[in-house]
Amino acid sequence: MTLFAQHVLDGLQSGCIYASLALAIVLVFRGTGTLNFAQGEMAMVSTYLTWTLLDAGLPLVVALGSSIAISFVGGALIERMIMRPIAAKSANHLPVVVASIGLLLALNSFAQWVYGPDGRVLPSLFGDGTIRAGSLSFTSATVGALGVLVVVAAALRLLLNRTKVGLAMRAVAASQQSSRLVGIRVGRVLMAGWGLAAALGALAGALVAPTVTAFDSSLMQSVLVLAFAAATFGGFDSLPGAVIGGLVVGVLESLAAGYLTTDLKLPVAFVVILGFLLIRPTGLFGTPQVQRV
Amino acid sequence: MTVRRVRAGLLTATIVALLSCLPLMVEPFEVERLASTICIAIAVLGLVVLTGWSGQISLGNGAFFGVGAYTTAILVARYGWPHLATLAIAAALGLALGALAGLPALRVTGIYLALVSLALATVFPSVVQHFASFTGGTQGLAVPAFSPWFSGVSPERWGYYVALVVAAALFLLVHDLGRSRVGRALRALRDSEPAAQAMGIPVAGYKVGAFALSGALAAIAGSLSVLVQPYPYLDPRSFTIVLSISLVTGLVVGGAGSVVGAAIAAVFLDRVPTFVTNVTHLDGSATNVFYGGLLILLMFVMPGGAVGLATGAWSRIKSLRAVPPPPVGTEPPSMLRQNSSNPLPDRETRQTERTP
Repeated sequence: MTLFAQHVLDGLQSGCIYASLALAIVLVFRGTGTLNFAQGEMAMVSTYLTWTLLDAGLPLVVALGSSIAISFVGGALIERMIMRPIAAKSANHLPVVVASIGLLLALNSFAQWVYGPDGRVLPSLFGDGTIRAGSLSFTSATVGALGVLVVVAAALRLLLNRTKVGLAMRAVAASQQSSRLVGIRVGRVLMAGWGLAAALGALAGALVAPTVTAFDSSLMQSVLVLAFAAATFGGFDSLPGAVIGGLVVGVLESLAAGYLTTDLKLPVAFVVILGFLLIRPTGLFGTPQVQRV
Repeated sequence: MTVRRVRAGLLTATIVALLSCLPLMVEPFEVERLASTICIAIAVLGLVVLTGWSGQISLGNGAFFGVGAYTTAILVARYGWPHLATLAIAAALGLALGALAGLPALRVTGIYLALVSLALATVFPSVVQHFASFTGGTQGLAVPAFSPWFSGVSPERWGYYVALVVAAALFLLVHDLGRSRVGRALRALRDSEPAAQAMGIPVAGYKVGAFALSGALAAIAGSLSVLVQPYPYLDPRSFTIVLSISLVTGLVVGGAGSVVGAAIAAVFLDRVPTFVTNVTHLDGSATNVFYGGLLILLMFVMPGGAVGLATGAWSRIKSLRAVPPPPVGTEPPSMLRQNSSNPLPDRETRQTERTP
C-alpha cells in the first residue's frame, strides 16, 4: 500500500508537467480549433530562454518571469504572423497543422543550432529537499509543481470567468462568427490565447527541465505526446479536464513503470486512455459534437 | 468512360516506361533511394484514401508501415519465407490491423480519433523493443537480401522494378476506386456524415473500410521498403511518430485527396530535405530551420498542396478562355471543405456552452 502511494506521488509530479502543457494545447484548440504540434518545442525554446537569462546573472524567479513574458509575446506573434494568414487562406485545418509541424522542426533545429548538442542545467524553483511523511517521501519539487498547477488553474479560472478578456475568450471558443457580430475583436483574442499557451509552456519547461540532469532540444518531445494524451483524456476543450488528464496520465505512467516494466509504460498509459475514450468518446469533460444536418 | 480508361492506361504505361529507364542512368545507391521513394508514395497513397477522401486524420500510419516491414523481415529472417510471399501476408495483416484501428472511429471522431492513431504510432516502437527476442529490439534485425530472379540484374534495380510494378498497380487501383461509387461515398461521408447516412451510405462500413485499405497500403509500402534494400536492416527507431507525421506532411504538401499528389509528396519528402542541406551548406541539425520554414512558406503559398495549386491555376486559365468545365483528375480545394463530422472540426460547428 505504501509502495502504491509512493508510485502515485511520483506520478503526480510528472503529471503536473503534462497538465501544464495540456492546458496550453487546450487553450489553443478552444480558440482556433487546431492542434498545435509546435507547443512542446515552443516550450523548449522558452526553457532555453530562461536558462540564458539565468546564465546572464538574473535570479531564477526573475529569469522565469521575463521568459514567460517574452514567450507570451512570441506566442501571440506566431498566431498573428503564421497561423492566422494560413488559416484564412485554407479550406480546412490541415495546412495549419502542417505549418505547426514546420514550426516544430524549425524551432527544434534552431535550438540545436544556437545552443549546440551540450546539455544545460536548470535548477529547480523549489530546491531539492525531501519531505518525509511516515513511510512516504516526496521531493519539494513535487510539492512545488502541484502548488504551481493549483495556482495556474485557479488563475486561469479567474481570468476566464471573472474578467472581460476571459468572457471574450469563451465567446470566441463558442463561435467566432457570433463573437465578431457582438463586437469582439476575434483576432486579438486568438493572439491572447496563443500568448497564454506559450507562457504556460515556458512554465512547464521550468518544471520539467530540473527533472532531467541536463536538458537539450529533445526536452519536450515525449512530454508533448503525453500532454496530447492528457488533453484527450480530459476532453479536448476543457481546462479542468486538461489538469485532471495530466495528473491521471502521470500517475498511470508511474504505476505502469512501477508494477510492470519501464519500457511498456507508454503503451499501458495509452491503452487505458483508449479504452476510456471508447466509453466516453469526448473524454472526461469534453463537449459532445453537435451535428447539424 | 472507355476513352478515359484508355487514356489513363496509356498515361500509366508511359509513366511506368519512363520510370523504368531511370535506374539505368544513375548510381546503384541512387536506385535504392528511388525505390524507397516509391515505397513512401504508396504509404502516402494510403493517407489519400483515409484523410483525403474520407476526411479522417491518422497520425499512426507510420506504425502500419512498420508492421509491414517487420512482417516481411521476421518471416524472411526467422522462417525462411520467400520475399514476395511475405508481401501478401503484410498486406493482409495491414488490412486487418487497419480495420481494427478503424473500429474506434465508429465511436470516436475528430480530434479524438487523431489522438487514438497517435497512440498507435507511439506504442509501436515500444512494442517492437519489448519483444526484442523476436524482433531484434533496439539491436535491429538484419534480413537476407531479395535476390533477383534473373542473372544480369543488380539487386538494387531488381528491387526498384518490383516496387515500381506494385506501385503502378496500386496507384491505378486507388485511382479507379476514387472514381467508383466507393470513392464518391467516402467523399460524401467526409463532407457530411448525416447527409451521407440519409442517402443510404453504410457509414460505419465505409469508415472502417477506409482505415483497412489505408493500413494495407502502408503495410505493403513497409514490406516493399525491406525488399528494395540490398542489405536489409530494420531498426524500430525508423518507425516512430516522426514517420507518421512526415507522411501527413507529405500528403498536405502534395495535395490531399489526389493520387498524383501522393507521388509528388514522396518526391518532396525524399528530395527536399537533402536539397535544403545542399543549398544551405549547414550540418544536419541546423538544416531543419530552413526545411521547417519552407513548410510554413508552402502553406502560405499553396494551402491546397501542389495539386491544389496546379488545378487552381488550370481552372483560372480555362475561365479566361471559355466556360469553365470541372477540373479532371483532381479535386478542387473547395471539395475539402470540412464540417462537424470531420477530423479537426470547424470552429463554427463546435457549438457549445463551455465553463472552464
